[in-house]
Amino acid sequence: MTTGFYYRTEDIRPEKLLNYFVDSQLDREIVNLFKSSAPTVLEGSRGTGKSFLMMVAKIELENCFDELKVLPVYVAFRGSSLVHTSDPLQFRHWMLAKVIRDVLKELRKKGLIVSPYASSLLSDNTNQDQAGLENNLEQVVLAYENSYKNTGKSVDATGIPDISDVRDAFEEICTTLNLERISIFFDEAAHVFRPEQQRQFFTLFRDLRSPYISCKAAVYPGVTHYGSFFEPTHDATFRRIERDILESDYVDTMWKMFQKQADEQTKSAFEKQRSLFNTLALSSSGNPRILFKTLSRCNKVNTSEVETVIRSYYRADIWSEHTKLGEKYLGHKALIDWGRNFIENYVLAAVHDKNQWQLKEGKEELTVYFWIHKDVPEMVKETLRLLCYTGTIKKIDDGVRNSHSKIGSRYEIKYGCLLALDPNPQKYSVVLGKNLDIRRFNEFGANHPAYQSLSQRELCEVQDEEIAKTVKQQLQQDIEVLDLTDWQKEKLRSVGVTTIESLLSIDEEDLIRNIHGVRTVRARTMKNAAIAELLEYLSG
Amino acid sequence: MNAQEYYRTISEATHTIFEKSVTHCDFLGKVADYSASVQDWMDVISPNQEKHMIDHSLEQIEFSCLSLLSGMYRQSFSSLRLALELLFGAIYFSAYKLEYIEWRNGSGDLNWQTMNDKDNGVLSKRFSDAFFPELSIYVETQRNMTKSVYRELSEFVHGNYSTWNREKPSLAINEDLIEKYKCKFESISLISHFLLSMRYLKEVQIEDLHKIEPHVMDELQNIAEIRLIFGGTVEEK
Repeated sequence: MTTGFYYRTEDIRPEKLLNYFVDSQLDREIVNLFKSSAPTVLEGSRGTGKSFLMMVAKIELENCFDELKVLPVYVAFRGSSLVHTSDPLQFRHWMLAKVIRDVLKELRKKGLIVSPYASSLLSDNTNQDQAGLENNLEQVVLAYENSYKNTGKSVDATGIPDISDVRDAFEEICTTLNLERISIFFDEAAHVFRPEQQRQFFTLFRDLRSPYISCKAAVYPGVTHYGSFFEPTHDATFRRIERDILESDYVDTMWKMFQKQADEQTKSAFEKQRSLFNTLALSSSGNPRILFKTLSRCNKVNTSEVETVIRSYYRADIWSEHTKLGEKYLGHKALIDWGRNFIENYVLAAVHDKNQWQLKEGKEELTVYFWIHKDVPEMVKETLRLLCYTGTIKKIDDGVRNSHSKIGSRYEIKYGCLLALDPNPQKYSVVLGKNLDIRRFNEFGANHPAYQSLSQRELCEVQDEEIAKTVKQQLQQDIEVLDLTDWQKEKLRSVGVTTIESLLSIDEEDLIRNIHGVRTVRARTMKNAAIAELLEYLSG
Repeated sequence: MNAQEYYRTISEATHTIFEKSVTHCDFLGKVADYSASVQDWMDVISPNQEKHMIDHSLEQIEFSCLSLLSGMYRQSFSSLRLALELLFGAIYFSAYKLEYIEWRNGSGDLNWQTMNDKDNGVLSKRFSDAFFPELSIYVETQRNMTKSVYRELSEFVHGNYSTWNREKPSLAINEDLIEKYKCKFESISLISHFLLSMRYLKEVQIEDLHKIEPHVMDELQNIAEIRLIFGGTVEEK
């Protein structure tokens, strides 16, 4: 069976990306929105295809650059977890420097500017005029970079260009080079679960607004903090990526996505067993990444194999992302664990019982939906937000009246999680898929007994202290976990370096001085291994 | 027509071709950006004796592009091959200092077969294991791609029969050859970034990573092991 499905957009080489795009109505609308001049925020949980659609829009804009004159620039804030500064200016400067570097890169690639110091065959004097634009921006980048190099020292803002300088520089570029606008695609804008940085990002997003700049961002539901200066529905066109399992073309779209990536053998096997494919497609509740993961786990295409995959994935693996979140943010662990228990022990059990009862009574309407009263404790709401973030549940809408005319929010539980509870998931799915009714849902009132087990401590968001706590725990790890050779580890231990923290706190010069056989390259390799470990943990 | 007039006429012909080519070629920005990218690499790695070879490699890239635009395709491919050889040489010599000194002193050669040797060359598992072990699984693919590019460029350098067929004896714009150049250049850009990443990425100071991030991610973001260095995410299978 196909094992080479792409789970992440970054794994696909850009020149091949359009080969995997299914031009469905929903996806086309989102791509067109990304290509438009409107500032856009796209919300969707992990694996729903946000980055993919962003890249499709970027590539399509690139392909008609000569006609539209819109310069698309893709910016990923991958390393933001490394920027440990409590000074808001420093993080803002870090973001701006990154944006400008990426814009410069795209301008160069289009041949619109030439870096003066990189042109070997011309002297600087000859190239001065052409290089003017790039030089201006290079100066801005350097000023920003110098400002955040010394974390801990507060920034002296005098002499550092402010946001209007950046906007002016972009305007100058557009008018001089005859560009319509620069479209900046911020992917992973809020991938690091760090509210303060997210707020700063959205403030910058709003501040960059100009006729010559169009910002686009992809964010997660539930845990994105926009801050007081940014209102997603007013300062941008806000759109959710929702592949609704009730839509008539849902299964067909997922099938087309599968066909674009699967090998011939797998395609042919599922062609003969379309109902098994349909079960897996519905189980993923609109999440292509989960669909591909479960498809690649099917060693054979038969009912027994598909049911085994559904049980193992939707009972255990689906929770790994959620549980990992609890390990990463220790202060939220109790909340995260409670969320899983609530869904497994109360919501799933109740929804499953309701469906079984309906089937026994010969009634047709079945459900994967549940309703939560708007006045539940804040801690419960926070838990639900975290569950939306990891994609275990999806919020459908607010302001929905229940059977007693009370107002609350309606959620959808992963279809596959429900199937996994049944002894015959495939048989169950054939009935469930045909009879889903969004008007049927299990209700959880304002004072459901399940809430009592959740500590009602004062709600606090993930703070820098919590990040610091997580970092601290990582720092205490033994150097054994590092990607170093046994010889290197042994040498480090011989000079008393046993933890990541001790390795980070020792200078390269000390390593060189104290360890025989270690010079600049090895010393840096050792230190970088420690930082890489920390970075991988924080941004994984 | 005297000799001076003869060459002046040729020069005018190349100029006409240049004017046509320069509007036709949509990849000149990518060539210029490649130079800027490699220069940024040079800024973030420790000073070394072989660095001048990379400067020369970039010079050859520019000469190759200039020759291409002027319709001197064979010369263009020849410079492109030399650019590749010089880059490989710089990386190879960074690990084999004695051979570098011998080459510099004129007592040793820059031998392509040695530099691209399966067991000890720059795209060998041995080399990768030493500098970036996680990339070992990719070196064979990169080595095969390099061999293919080098072989095709060599056909022009050696004047293989097929290359004479392609290239008409007169000076004229040749869109097939321009397309071929674009394709080879893109491969060289990819191979170069892979090679520089494999050899130096783990030695780059964390605070300098952002300077090369746009370049490396532009070419190699599909390699999860490289993405991780820049704080990117990977999927657990």
